[in-house]
Amino acid sequence: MRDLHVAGLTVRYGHFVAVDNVSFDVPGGSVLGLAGESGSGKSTVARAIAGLTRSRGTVRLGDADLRRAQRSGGARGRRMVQMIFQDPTSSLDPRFTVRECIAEALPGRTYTDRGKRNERVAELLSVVALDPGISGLHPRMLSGGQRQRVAIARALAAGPEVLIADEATASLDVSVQAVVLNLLKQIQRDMGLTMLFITHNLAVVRYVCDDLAILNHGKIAEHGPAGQVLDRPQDPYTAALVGAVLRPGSRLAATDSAPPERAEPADTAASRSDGRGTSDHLHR
Amino acid sequence: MTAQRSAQQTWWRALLASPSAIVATILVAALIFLAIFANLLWGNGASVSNVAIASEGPSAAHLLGTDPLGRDILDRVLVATRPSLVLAVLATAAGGVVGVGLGMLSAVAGPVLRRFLASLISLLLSFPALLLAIFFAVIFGVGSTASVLAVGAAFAPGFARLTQTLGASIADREFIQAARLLGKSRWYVIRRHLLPNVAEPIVLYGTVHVGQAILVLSGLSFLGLGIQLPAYNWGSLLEQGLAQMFQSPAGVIAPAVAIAVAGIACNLAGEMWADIIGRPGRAAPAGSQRSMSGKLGAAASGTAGAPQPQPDSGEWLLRVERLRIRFPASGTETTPVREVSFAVRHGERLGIVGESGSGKSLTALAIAGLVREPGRVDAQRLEFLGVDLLRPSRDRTEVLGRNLGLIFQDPGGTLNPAVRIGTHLREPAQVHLGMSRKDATARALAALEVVLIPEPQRRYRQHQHELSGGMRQRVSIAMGLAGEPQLLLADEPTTALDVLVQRDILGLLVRLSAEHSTGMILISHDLAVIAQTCDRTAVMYAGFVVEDAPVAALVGAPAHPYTAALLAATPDIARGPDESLPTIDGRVPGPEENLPGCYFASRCPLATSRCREERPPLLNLDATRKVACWYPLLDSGQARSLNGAGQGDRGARKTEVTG
Repeated sequence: MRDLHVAGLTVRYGHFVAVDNVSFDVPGGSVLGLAGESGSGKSTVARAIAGLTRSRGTVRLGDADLRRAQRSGGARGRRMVQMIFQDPTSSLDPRFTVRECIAEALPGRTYTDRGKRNERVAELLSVVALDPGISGLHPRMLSGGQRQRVAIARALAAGPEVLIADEATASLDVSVQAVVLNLLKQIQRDMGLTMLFITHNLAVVRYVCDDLAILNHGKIAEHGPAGQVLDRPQDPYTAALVGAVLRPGSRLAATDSAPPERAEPADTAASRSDGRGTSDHLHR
Repeated sequence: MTAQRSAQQTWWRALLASPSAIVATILVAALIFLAIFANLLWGNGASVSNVAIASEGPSAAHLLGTDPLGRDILDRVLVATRPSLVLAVLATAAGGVVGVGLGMLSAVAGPVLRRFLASLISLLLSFPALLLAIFFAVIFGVGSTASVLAVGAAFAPGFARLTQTLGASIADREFIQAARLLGKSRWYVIRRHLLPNVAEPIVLYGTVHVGQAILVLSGLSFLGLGIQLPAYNWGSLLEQGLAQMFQSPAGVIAPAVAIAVAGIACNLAGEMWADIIGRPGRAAPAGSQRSMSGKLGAAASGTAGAPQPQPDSGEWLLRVERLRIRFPASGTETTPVREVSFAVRHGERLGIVGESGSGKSLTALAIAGLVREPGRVDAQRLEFLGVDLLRPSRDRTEVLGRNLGLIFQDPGGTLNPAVRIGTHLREPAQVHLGMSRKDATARALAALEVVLIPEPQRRYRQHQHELSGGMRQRVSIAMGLAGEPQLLLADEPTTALDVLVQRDILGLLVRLSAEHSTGMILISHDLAVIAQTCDRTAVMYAGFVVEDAPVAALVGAPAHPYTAALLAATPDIARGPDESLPTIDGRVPGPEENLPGCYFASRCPLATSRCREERPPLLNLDATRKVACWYPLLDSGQARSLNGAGQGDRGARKTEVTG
């Protein structure tokens, strides 16, 4: 199990700096949560590590330069990092059957004949607690939770060392989210995967993550063991974010309605950084 | 498999039911028949000249008369089907191959090449196809090969633009990124992912363009640039007929009719294709929900202009009893809302919580009178401020317009992007209240202040894209408040927002409701959101209200096993790292299912045969709580032990999965 090492990661879109000199380490076989509001750059970090976005900085897996491997190492270099996306509807090709979705990700050299491939697909489906009998169905015939499990099986089929879950439960119902979260955690533990768990929802962090990094405007505001960051946040932004998470047991009083002066900076800043607010900026 | 076959059968039935599809099928079959057999059957009459009968009028032997060389005009028109059709198909295919190739290339190209290709395509698209074809005909020379190439070249930009647009929308999808993560080549991505997903509209476009190609090729032949003698197509027949137009009009009319009929056949066939492709079972069109909320937004903006709320009608603001919403369909009728009963007092805040498919949003639509055709709403009682909402009446229009404020998940969809923020708030006051522009402006600015928008003067002049998501939601709340409503109906108002903004918006809603003692229904999938803001919560499951209780009681000691399970599955930021979340096994029964008993029974750890056979009604548990369950959980300890059992189950499954 090799450590994932990220140093000085920077992503620019034109003049806009989406990710600003971000550095962190994820010990092999552990889970780092990356949390932040929309526009904080958390998904961009994920895409940069996966090699889907041009970036500057170092990304290493143990001693191996991951980005060089992704650029020149062909399929093998690519397979080391796999992603699970937010929307399982658009992350599975509607023309493919479940079997084709997963088989596509299997390394062609190892799984040369059809029988072997189908066997492995069935195996992976049972890993994600799906009935192998569904392998002939198309994604549209499955529920959202089932689709997300197929997406997980596809990511596993590539045999990755690093798994990136980008808001993997954000579009799921509460009860389905619980199933997928438990499944992700269990697979990560059983297979010893190194995982980046990207979420806007701090409430789910502790169930999955060992460490937690909070991103704000493309920079890491705070990084530490998940329990520590959530229980005793040091950074004021982190504290505000943790404090805003709603709990079923607590209650918001009518007097609690925040005057916008207090919260608005974060609000407009978030929108500006994801591009929506840029014209606002220009009009001033 | 049987489902698939029956779906196919319904296609055919639908096709046969549509007259244009029948006509298209007959015409296309006739054209294909003629293309294959006309030469065999009438080739003789079409090619052998006989000067003795030159330029004769219609007769029994020659229905449309003969041409100056004594050949039968009808025979010639029929025989010309093959060259006309084959050349048109070839030309379209040539254009398609080149165009689709260019479009695909541009979909996967780097930024520089993409921009170049896009400009090239736009440039070529600005010339009419016939003009381009003439231009290319000059380059390629005269003759059938040249005219096919010319028409192909003229059609390519259209195919390229279509492919480019479709490809770009698919290239953004995550399954393409997943393929890139697997290190697949560009060619693989095009072949396996892009092409199959854009094939249908392109084939459709091609079918329609065969008709166009017939027209353009005929045009070229008519101008003498196309097919050369002794071969002929409809275009050259038209040209030959033109010289004798006044002696024998049939020589012109017959090929013209043939061109028109073939064109119509191709267009109808294209439509038929589109019809087949567009059948349900295929991917649902994106944004259907958005258009719904857009419609609702329009309704919401119409709520402005209530001078005074109506006098009180007793204790209840809204009463819903045994609400049912059905969608009749050809095969199976669906009932997404089966039996919903609840009531809201004046100034009370009721939360409705449920997962997708629970029917919560449809319930809201039914209250607002916005369930779309063919949906059917019926209820024992559906009353707002004492007015029956089930029957159309002037009172109904009035109370819904004046006293109901609607707020939706996507504030961007509620606001017209082309209209200034202020106009959304000002115009209703001008139109419905007859206010002067000045008064209406003042009123709109005041509304922006009420929802705590800083610098209302500046925001008033802006457009929605200049506002953050939180700001937009504040504006749509201001719109919802415009009529000083007695009930605010908010459907997932903070789901699209970040936590910090969510807290502020919820706080704002609570404050507004408390200050003006406005009743509120807050619909959410998130129990935490409702627990923060509401007095009472109704829990919905599979189209039923299964529990209705004060928030504290519901969260502290849920009575329905589903509520308990939902609560347990809701992640809590304070809960420990080594707990896994309790889950609910099984799935929600679909809206097409019809069960005699409790709809949660198949997933409920407490269910008995009674639960499966007899449906529990929503009954009072005590003075403030109602539950629809034969075996309600009586204290929090029972709920906890239930979830403990759930955890045990999961532990068992875990070993099974790893093994």
